[in-house]
Amino acid sequence: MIRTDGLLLASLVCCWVLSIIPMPGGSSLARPEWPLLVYLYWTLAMPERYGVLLAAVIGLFQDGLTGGVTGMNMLAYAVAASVFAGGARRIRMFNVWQQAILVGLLLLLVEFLQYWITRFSHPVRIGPWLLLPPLSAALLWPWLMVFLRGMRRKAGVTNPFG
Amino acid sequence: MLVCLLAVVLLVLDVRYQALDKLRSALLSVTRPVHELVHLPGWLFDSGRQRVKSRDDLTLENARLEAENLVLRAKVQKLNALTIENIRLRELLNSTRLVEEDATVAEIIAVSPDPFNHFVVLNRGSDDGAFVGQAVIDANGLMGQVVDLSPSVSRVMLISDARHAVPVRIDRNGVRLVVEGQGDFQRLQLPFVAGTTDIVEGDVLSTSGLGGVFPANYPVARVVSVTEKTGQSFIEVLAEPFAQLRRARHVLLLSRRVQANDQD
Repeated sequence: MIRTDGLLLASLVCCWVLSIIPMPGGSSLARPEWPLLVYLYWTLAMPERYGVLLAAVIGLFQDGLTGGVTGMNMLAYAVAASVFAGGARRIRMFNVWQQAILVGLLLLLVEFLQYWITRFSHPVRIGPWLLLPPLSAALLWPWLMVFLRGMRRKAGVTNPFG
Repeated sequence: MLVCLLAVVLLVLDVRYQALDKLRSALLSVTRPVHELVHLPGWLFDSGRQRVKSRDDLTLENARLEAENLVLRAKVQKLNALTIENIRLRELLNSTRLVEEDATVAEIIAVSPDPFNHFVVLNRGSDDGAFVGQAVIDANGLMGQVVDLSPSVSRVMLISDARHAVPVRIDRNGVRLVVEGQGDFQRLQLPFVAGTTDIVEGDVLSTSGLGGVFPANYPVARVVSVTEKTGQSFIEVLAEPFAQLRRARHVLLLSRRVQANDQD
């Protein structure tokens, strides 16, 4: 089980790097919520092991990383996680593109939560580019899913449900 | 559920009461390794390039730097004379003490990925003498101020952040105004400018030193558009920051030092 947590941590570190690495021009507007995506994969793979609390901790770390309002990502991630965790066993049965759509919608919710919470502290401008991160997340989900599943199986981390 | 409640409590504490300095600084320290990791390839590339520079390049660069140095030294000569003259004149006027700034060089190790927050992270912290509210400039103008502090890194809010405002003065005529960020790296706005204010395109805005956060006389922005709208009580003024908010690599942290030969 140490192996599982090690793999989770390794994938999270990669995500944190991806989530703050500078990107050219406007492409950073389309940056998906990497840590949340990876968390969603892991909660789907092992719902009885990784729950809402982990999502909140990841979110708090993300707050520290990006310097936004403290608790913003914590709340957004926790809400997303509780939506997802309830149906994890069912969602696992979906095919990968159906999952991608679901992930996209979930991230849209997260995006709006972040926008609303930021609005509390200071005025921000909204635009159609707010739709880009959920879209890129949905498009990335299948590849991320296959990649992480490959890593997990290679590392010999399995759970009774597959 | 409980977790969400805790998050909401944190949110309220941070937004309403700004009571989370300790937690924010702790979070900044905890996330430092990730910032370092992101910074690593660029650092390796830079140090590698330094090592393999050709001799011709070095000679050229040396010549250029020497020329630049000569010009700068010539300017400094004049500056020394001017500073002395300024002190003498201030003494004659029985003016308040002259404040001079010390500068520490810092490197930007991370930029905020979030379009709602304009932050950069510097590789200097409270151990290097940084403090919250410290002014940060680059080679061209004012960049922002330190908002979060940990022992070895600090987070700087840029002047373009929508929460940020700087008291400024028009260099040409001394009119005092405020420059606000609006979440756009290229444009700052000046709120509440009366229609009768003497302000034109091309005016240079420098810090006025009012408000006590920023030292006086650092260039902030240049006015790029002044539009009068009928039926509005204020005119719309936009300015372009001098500092390279998106491109700067090295910045200076300013700290105040009162002139030694001061009388009062």
